[in-house]
Amino acid sequence: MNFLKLKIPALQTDAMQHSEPYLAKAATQKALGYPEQLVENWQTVAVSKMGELLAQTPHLQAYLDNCVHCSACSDKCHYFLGTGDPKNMPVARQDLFRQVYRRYFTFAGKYFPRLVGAKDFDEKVLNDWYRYFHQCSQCRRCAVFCPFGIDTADIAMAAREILNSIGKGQRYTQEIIVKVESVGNNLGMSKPALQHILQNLEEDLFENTGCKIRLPLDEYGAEVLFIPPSADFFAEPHVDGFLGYAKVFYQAGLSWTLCSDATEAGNFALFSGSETHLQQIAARIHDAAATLGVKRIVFGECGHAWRVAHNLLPPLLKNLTLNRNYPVPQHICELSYDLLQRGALRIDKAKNAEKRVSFHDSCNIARASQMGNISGGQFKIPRALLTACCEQFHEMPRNTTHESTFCCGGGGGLLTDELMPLRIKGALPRIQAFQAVIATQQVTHLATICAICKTQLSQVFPNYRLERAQIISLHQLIGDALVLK
Amino acid sequence: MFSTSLALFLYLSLSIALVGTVYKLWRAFRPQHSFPRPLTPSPFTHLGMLWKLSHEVFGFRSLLRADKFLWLSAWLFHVSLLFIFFRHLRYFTYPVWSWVVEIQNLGIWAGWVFWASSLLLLLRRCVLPRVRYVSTPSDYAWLILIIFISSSGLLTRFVYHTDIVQLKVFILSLSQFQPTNFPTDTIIILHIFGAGILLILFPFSKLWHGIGLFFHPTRTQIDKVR
Ligand code: SF4
Ligand code: SF4
Repeated sequence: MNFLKLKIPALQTDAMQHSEPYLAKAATQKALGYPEQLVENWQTVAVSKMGELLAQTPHLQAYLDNCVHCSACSDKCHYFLGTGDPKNMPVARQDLFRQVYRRYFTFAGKYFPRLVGAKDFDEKVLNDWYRYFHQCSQCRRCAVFCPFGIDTADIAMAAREILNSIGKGQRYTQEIIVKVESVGNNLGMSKPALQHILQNLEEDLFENTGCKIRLPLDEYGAEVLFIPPSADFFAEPHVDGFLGYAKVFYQAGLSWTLCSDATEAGNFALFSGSETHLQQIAARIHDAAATLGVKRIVFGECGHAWRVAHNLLPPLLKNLTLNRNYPVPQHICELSYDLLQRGALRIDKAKNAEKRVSFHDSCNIARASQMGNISGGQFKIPRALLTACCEQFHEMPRNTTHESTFCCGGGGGLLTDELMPLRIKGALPRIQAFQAVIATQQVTHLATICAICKTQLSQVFPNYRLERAQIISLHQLIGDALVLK
Repeated sequence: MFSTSLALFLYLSLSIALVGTVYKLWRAFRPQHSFPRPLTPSPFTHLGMLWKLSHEVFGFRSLLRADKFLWLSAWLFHVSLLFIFFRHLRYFTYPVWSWVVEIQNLGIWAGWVFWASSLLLLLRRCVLPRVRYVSTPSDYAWLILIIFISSSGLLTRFVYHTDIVQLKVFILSLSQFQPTNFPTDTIIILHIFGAGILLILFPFSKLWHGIGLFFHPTRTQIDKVR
């Protein structure tokens, strides 16, 4: 099947007005250098912060000026398709920002506000900002279809940074940033805890494979520094993917190590819009590589992490003596694909025979990064790996994959329990597409390469009469198919 | 007296449009202090990017994928606008370039297509709830102004003919800063006035989208960081 017919909902004004994430606590805000609670003169502070962002990123101002209100993007957002709330139409979401921008930064907005839809930044508008900029997973699907490529994700990032700076940070994202900066990973997992987990996993691996497959931590002089998303250490189905990476390293005979100061690929400052923290978190990778004297840096299966690694990290890693025969940094899929092509992986597809697999392109990989240094490599490489290790691979409808992929519904810092109703609704188009291949091709599993997608989809699947275990890591499939002895 | 005022108005609109354009270009060329954010898959070379961008500029490729009806109306609207512009060159050039003479008929057809497609766009804006929801009064005003200019142009051509020779002498005299008399027909005066307003607002409004597009990282940044 090639095309999924999507039902465009009728507008249901304020249908999702109740949906908002918890506010960050005072201590969290303080730790990140933001006001502890909503400041008294928040309006002034917000407007001046907006001015700052407009100067820093002129394209933001271009996006705000150049929208023609054609609404071509309006039915491209999974949150709109899932909720029918008109403020979840990408253009309407932008307009929440645009109405304030126009009021304070344009001639027409200052003198003829009604004419151009400019509005004072009052409490009502502020509440809309907090609610609806946290109903955007910054997936960029709308930008693909906008005739001018206007990027709602960028506008949402700017909006959230303004909210941070007046004391209205989002708890989930902000707390994670504090943890990654202080402990080294999003889960706040200490080194002893990690050692314990790795030891248990090594024992499991030995039991299941009979091979002494190691999960090294802080080993100086290893060839590869490996940076997984921290959920890979124990969450389901992530951890099976983690074991998959280890098996690949084992079979290739590559020495690798984790670094206890950088056990996190993710960088939630991308979601919160904070350039400062974004850089700070990214810099940890540089320091880890320098301390451990590694030759290569490889990232695990995590979507937004790869966006940051691909677009922001290379200049930060310039002064390191790394092996430049490999991409710096490299994605685990690139590494496995390279091994596959060189014939270094012994694969027995039959081991995955009972699985009929489809692939979910994650937004930040599909629309904000690339693999293999070929344009569109982010689509080709994972598919090449899947077809190499599975007998049955089937695509979902084309308008829901590749650059048109639908977000899982939990990206962009929305993967928190209080937003569950939104996440369930936002997953709708992705799940409809999956159900379509289940119906036509009897697909059993949906493979993906993003920690957030894995968590989100496994959590919402039961709401759509699917099983949690139907979501699976790409490297689990590879690991399962490897002939290790 | 009237002709002088009209000339002054036109000088003013043109100057504002020019100054505004320079200002907006200056603003757009400011450096970006943040990480690159191409919308991928994106070409690796600037030439490749130019090729891809040309599909957007000439074919409205993304819009075609997004909304077929809107694509048709918008594409016809812009292409006919281009031909109308070419046709109007005959009023600004002396002697008139031969290719401009050639396309006069085409230009008139384009006039009708333009008029009809603007009406379609207005209709769409009034009827479709998803568009109406985001429309501001200015969005409607733009279309009404454009329909007004295009209608008055067609009326001048087909119903209330004006003294074209006198008109052209006036336009050419503007470049000498010695305006001659403007024809006294109301419709052509309104046509010119509408066009002047359009010119003034061009750099400061959503009309800028045709140039603004070239400054959107999602459509122009190449993928070459790594
Ligand atoms: S970036 Fe994604 S979530 Fe946000 S408005 Fe666009 S389509 Fe919706
Ligand atoms: S498609 Fe682009 S120009 Fe049209 S309304 Fe959406 S953001 Fe604005």
